Amino acid sequence: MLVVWQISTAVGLVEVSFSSDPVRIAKAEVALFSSGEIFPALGATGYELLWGLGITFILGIPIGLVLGRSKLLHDLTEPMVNILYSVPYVMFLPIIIFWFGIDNTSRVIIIVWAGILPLIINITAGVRNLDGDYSRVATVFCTPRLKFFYAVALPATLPYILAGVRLAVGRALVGAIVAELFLASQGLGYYVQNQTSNFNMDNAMAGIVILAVVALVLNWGVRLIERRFTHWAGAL
Amino acid sequence: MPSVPERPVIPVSDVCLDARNLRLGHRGRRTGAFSLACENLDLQIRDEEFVVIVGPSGCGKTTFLEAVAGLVPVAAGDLELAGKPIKGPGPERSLVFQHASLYPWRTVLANVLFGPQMLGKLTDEVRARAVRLLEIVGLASVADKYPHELSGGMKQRVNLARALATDPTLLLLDEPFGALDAQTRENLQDELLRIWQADSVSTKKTAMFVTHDVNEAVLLADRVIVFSPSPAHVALEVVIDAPRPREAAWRRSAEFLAYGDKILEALHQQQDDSVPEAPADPEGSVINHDNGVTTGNAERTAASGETSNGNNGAVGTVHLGATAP
Repeated sequence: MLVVWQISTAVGLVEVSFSSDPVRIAKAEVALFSSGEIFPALGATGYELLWGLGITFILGIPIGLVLGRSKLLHDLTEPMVNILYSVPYVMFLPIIIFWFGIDNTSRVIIIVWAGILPLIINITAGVRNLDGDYSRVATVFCTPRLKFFYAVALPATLPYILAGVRLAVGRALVGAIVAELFLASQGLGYYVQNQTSNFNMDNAMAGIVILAVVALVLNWGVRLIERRFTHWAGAL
Repeated sequence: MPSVPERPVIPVSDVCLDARNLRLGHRGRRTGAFSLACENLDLQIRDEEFVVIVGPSGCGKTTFLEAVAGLVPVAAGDLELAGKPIKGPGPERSLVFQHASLYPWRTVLANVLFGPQMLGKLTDEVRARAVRLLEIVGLASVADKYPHELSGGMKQRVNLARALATDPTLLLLDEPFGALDAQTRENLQDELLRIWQADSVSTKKTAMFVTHDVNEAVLLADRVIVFSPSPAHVALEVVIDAPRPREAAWRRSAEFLAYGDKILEALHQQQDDSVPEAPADPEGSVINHDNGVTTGNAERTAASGETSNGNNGAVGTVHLGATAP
């Protein structure tokens, strides 16, 4: 596909200043990294992702576990969770800007909103679908509550937690870019938008490629964790 | 002239499990309605006895087993273990589940050690015993493998080893071989016999086994108890007089088949009507509540040809001798 792209611009089939081409993107990447131009943008996006994902996991995992375990709380919060999940958070951007301003707080809020809901929903589903036999076995051997939690419930739910984390990471990245497009003065998303509006397609595409790499790296990281800790979950 | 029948009296000190007038049931999750599983259940199990409970599907025998394990609360009546009422699970009881239900994130050895670990008794001695148990069930070579790498039969062996790892006084087994193919089932039955009859395991252990399979019952049991259809009470007790240690050859002997026939007849009659009437048996051992006859030797003093009056319907005790006259 890359070859087709390169050829079509070389031949003049596609206007190269509109679409760039792989060779020029590669050159732009080299330039960006050697000049260090991209690092502040990378750093800014990285910083807000760090905060956003951190809060997402620290809040989302316990909430998901509790909602899965307690029927009462689950039924109480279900309408709220459904609304927050179904309504596109993008609609709330102006309100968020109005309430929290155009700084990192707002961006982190958007990232959390984007990522935390699929995480909670996944974990809740996982806990509710926990094999009833696991708790029966634990009961027969007189397992105390706390031990049950970390010796049975947590490992059993881990595949669902990690699946939720994978979803959350993807959604959070989207949230980060959306947040930057709307209210940022730095960061990768902002950079791509900036370059595009200045018709620097090479740089813009280069930025997109970097974003894609970041997404892939995060995903790959989660898959590594999945394989290490839930290798047993394949053939259940 | 047959003597007046009396229920065999088990000395109080020998009683492991005692159920009196027991009423058990389940509370439905969705509707909250209480569905009765057992009613007027009277049952006694002696120390070191291997008792098998058979009954039609859905009669309540698994519920009774779960109540003994402490998973199901007692609705009415008494259920006592060594004189103390059963209020919940305890370290002296272990359950071998129908489906192995091993924890997939734990290795085989870690699964076997789960019980002692949860009870806080994970000592070196216990670890050594777990390793020995794995050797006894023939799985020493896979101690470090994960459950998803094992076959169904192997998982059930681990299940058995896990139940024995806590050194329980009462071992409960819930149709443990029901989900296996016929060949594996026979193998595991023979293994269970072997394990049970080996000194190191069965000293001071009592076992209660629940099954559909009448042949399995006659193979393994010292005494077979037939449950009526739901709500269950004891319909018939059959003492299996075959000497121990038994071997696989016992399966094909005439007495084995005769016992099996008796129990099957009782089961079929349970299905047909709620008050079983036992037919007269030309070989001379009659099952009804009026008289009972023993043929052959009775090996236990408490089991010498008496039949008893039941609470509901007829309860009979049947003995067939090890050698037919």
